[in-house]
Amino acid sequence: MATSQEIDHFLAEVERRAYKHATFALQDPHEALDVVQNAMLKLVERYSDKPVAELPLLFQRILQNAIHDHFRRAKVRNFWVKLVSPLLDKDDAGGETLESLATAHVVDTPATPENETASRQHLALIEQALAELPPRQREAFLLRYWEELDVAETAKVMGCSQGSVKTHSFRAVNAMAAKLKNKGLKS
Amino acid sequence: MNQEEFAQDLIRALDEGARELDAATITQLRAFRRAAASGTDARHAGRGALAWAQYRPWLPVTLAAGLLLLGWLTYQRPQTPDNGDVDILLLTEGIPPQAFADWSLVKRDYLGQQCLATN
Repeated sequence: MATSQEIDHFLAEVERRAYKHATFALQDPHEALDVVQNAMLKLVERYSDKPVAELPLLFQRILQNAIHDHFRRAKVRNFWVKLVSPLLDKDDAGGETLESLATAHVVDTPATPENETASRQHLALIEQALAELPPRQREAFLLRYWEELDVAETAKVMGCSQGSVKTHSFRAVNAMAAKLKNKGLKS
Repeated sequence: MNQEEFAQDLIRALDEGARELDAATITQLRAFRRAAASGTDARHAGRGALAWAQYRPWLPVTLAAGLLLLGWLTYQRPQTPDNGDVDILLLTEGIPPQAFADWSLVKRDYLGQQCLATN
């Protein structure tokens, strides 16, 4: 059973990555904060009696589910908005898949690196490229490389086969290389 | 550069980005984390109490027996005169003046008799 100090320590380790992860997926810092807060509360509410070693996997699973739920809610919301507003653009991403929802949102959000230094520009480009990845590829990439989960753990969190995880990760890295090359960054 | 090295380079950049979050976001994340972690002890305490009771099947029976005993004792207790009885005695001048100096006298000699008479 994890103590409050252990939970605090664990969350302190993952909170920034979780926030960035949610921001890449949702493209909205406020929504990302909400999602991270809910994930933290849910972890404590449901799994505080679990050993500390199990927390990383559980937290990632909760976070991914929270992100997916956000898209599901957005999809339902957009459906009703479309239904009551015939003046809405027909090309709106409301009724499309989760992937197209996320990608469409990214296209609407221009890259505006606030800092002029080269490293920050590079960072902004990398983050932009990551945000533009299809959600499953981004998820696999972040879980495998940033959260350092192995293939089996990533498959568990993503709810798919290990083969799918390998495919998504492989495609994600290739897509990142191609995107960064297009943006003028060498891999 | 192979795929793994490239991925690690990207992760190093992302780590950098995570380190450079703005102060307001860091403060909010810390507040969320502390609020969540503070719920842990309360939850454990609640679960602890439930677990404690769960392994003591005799507890509800004992509590019920205790309540029954308390009820029975309350019912069996001899009824003492209430303030209304004392007021009546005062009004009917049934209390001698010395009773005001020694209240136990009233309780024993007058109210006691009245209780016996009513029972």
